Amino acid sequence: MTSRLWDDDEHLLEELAEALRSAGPVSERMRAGSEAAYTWRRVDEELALASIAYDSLLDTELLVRSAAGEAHRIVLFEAGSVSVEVERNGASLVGQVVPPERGEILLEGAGGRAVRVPIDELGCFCIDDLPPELVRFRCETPTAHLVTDWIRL
Amino acid sequence: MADSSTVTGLVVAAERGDQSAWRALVDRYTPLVASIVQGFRLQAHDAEDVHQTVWLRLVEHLGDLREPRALPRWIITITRNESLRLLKTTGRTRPFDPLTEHETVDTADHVEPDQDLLKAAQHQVLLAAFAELPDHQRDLLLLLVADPPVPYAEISKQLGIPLGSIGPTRARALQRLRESPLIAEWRESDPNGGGQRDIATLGR
Repeated sequence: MTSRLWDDDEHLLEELAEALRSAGPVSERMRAGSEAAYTWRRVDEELALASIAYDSLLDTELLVRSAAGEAHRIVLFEAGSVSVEVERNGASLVGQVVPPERGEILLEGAGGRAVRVPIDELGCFCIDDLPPELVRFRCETPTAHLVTDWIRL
Repeated sequence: MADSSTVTGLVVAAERGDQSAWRALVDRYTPLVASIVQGFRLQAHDAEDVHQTVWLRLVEHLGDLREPRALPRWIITITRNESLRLLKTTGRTRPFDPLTEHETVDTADHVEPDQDLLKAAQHQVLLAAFAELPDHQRDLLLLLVADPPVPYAEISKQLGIPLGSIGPTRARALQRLRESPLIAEWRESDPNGGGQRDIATLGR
């Protein structure tokens, strides 16, 4: 299985075949979802992209400590000096935008669902019925115009 | 004009709004994504979510990925992270037994045992390099590794190339694969030619 054998055409082709088999069958739903992702392309929008800076799900130290049923999850998105922290508890979610300012959160689901909620003067917002699909948050305040990475919470 | 026959060209074209370039990228890199996802033994629904997340993320990051070598690493890293995320999301909702729970924390280690890591890394480097081959070479190699095997006469008909050119094209495609910088770097990373290093960390 060393790559030295790749100098030989037969070996290289056989290992490529094995690599392709390791991918397994690609379902039509997978392909459709992948191609449809392009419809979410943003055109001419001046929005900062807030990436995931922290996810309690991937925090190994935390998992060791609270392995007994992680009932809630905390995710932090950051774009420059603005951050959006969300905490999911079952199907409900609370979040906070920092620095705090009044504004609006638009939760977008990859399946087309959209939920609009206000951000209060402390930067806080609540969503009661989190859709079980990939979502992202658009955040509009007087100073912050951002959209987060997609995530399934 | 972007050269839409190369991955870089496809990334640039997709960023400019060319949907067929996007489809071509999905087509080329789906085996790489799928190979990594398979390693995590996710439920079908979760696997679909990972695929969708990788491509949704890529839509947002097309503009940052003009360096062609950045793309396979980017795809591998995101696919792994998202697979892990989904694995843990699923783990969180499994029936919980307080007597045994402490023994089942790190599920990721269970699905990718050490002895399979090298094999998985090898698959990834081959699939990443394969994704960068020109269409006609990829199409031919796909038919040549098909199971059950496709007769040369049928390959010649499907690809519209003379029977006699299959052998030489196959040799050129494999040579191009072998000469891929991804594969060359990977092979050089180990003195025995075994390629011990991870493709996602090469060149760093």
